[in-house]
Amino acid sequence: MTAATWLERLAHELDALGVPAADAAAIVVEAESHLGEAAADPLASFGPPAGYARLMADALAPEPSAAGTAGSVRAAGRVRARAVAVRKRYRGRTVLDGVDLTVRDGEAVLLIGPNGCGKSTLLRILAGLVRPDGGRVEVDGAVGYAPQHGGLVAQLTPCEQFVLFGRARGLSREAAVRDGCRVADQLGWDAARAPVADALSGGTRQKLSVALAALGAPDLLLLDEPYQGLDLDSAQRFWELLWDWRDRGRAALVVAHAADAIERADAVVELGGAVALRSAA
Amino acid sequence: MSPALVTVGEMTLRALARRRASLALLIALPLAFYLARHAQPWQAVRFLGVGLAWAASTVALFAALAARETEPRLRIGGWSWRELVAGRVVAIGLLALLLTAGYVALVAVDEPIGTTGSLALALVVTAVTGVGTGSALGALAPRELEGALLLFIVAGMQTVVDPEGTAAKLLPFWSTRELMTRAVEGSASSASLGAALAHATATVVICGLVLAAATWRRGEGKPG
Amino acid sequence: MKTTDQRPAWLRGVLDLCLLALLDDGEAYGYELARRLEELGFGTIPGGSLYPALLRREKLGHLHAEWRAGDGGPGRKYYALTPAGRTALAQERIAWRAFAGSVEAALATTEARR
Repeated sequence: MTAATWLERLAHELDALGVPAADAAAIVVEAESHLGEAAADPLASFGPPAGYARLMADALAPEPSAAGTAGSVRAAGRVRARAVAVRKRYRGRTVLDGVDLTVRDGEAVLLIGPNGCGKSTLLRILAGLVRPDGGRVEVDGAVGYAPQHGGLVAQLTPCEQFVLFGRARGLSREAAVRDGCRVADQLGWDAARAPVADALSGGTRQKLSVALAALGAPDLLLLDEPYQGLDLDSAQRFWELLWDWRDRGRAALVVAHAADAIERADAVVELGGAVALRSAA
Repeated sequence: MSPALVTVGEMTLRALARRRASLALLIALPLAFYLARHAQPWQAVRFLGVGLAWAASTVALFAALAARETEPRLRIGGWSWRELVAGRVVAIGLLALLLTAGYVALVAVDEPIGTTGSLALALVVTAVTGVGTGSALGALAPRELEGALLLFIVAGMQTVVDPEGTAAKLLPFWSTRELMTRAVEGSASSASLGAALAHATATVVICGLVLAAATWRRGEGKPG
Repeated sequence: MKTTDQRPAWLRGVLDLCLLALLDDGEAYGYELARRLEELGFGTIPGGSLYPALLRREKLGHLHAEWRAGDGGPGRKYYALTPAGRTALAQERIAWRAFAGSVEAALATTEARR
């Protein structure tokens, strides 16, 4: 990568992180100056632009204490999904009417509302399966999507499906199987010895679906009621997986009902009043 | 070979291979047709061709319909539509050719009528046009029932309509008929090799265009 | 047997302190500080470690930064110690010497036994 390209990317990343323009410009110029004098490869000297940008953005935000992450003051993460005034009609019925939504890195947002109010539709629009009738949708980065039902290949074993989905993200076969089995393990399920998807119970199929969505650590997780059909223990494990995902700086949007999850979510969006609210938990 | 095609193709075949009963019926279909008319060799090979056409197009159709549920999700996962469709169709094509090889061996051993070479050509072309037709119908049909019925109409009509008429030439398996006639009648045949191959090529191209158009339309559904 | 280089991990802990100490000599800009650290035997300091450290201390009020027009190239950001920075340097210097002393003591006990 040439210095010019690297600096351009750096500027872009700093902007995406919400760093004030004056600070961002100073950071870029300082790096440019350093690269000019050191005549070094930018990747060797600074690392990837995104990583350096994050380091500088973190350094800008004053830390309350050196020890640990209090979690209360987090630099605004990069926007991974944004819906602006999204509208959708199905057979003459308005399912979504001017919905606004934003999901950033380091956020787990819950989407709640009564049945039939368009939660799944909104998720599918963000995933790119359905086009909205109005409004704007932006998604930045790779997406992992788990629908409410199905989305699995009936006659393949979980490990084979890990390979099929994992290779799409550029993982090697072994890495794909390892990654999938690791997530399955977190959900309390031994995927390596499981039979074909058709022979699994409904709850186990949900776990497989979640594992396939999380495979290869996409930037944004879109999960449609993934804990449905899970027993209490497994559902708990799922929520722990989600908060862990969020704590590691990734983004997730989950269609949910669970009342206790609402307390730990970063934001809750409620559909069904034909208006989306955004409230910090 | 593209790693994408290998992975998608491999998984398509693995999933299909687990349906033992379906595979057995698939193998049995052309065989049953062949054996039923075994007493009259020229009818036997002709119906072997018909059976293979049905088997190839049916397995291609159902592979396409079964993939409908997972392909959108795989698309989000990172595969392109081209990789998904090509991987599936090529895998089914290879399966059909494997089946065909079995029947070529059968006629080589049984020697009903005509040369093995001309019969082999007819069967291979049948398999290829069959997979093309089935895949194209799979892209067009809304659901399984409609797809199956469309296939019955398209494949069935071929055996119903007057082989000399123009209607026959508009159907995908006309080339099969021509090549079979040529194999049966030998070098003195009125059936044209050139016309048959041209028809087969055109059929495959049209099926390819249908697939490309359907894929392009699905691809349009993805926002920024 | 593979031996891992511990220096990057150690450097992460002491880079801030070393930078403050170098700046006690007078103001300097980023690349100059990197060169001086290299001369002292630290090896090449990646920009990805250097500038975040300088920015952190600047935000804490230990350093004061000023832009100067460069000669021919883009401007340079010069850093200088503030009074608060001087105090922090003195405190951290004492703390480091105590810490390093403990490390030496731990290493010496096992060596002496041989």
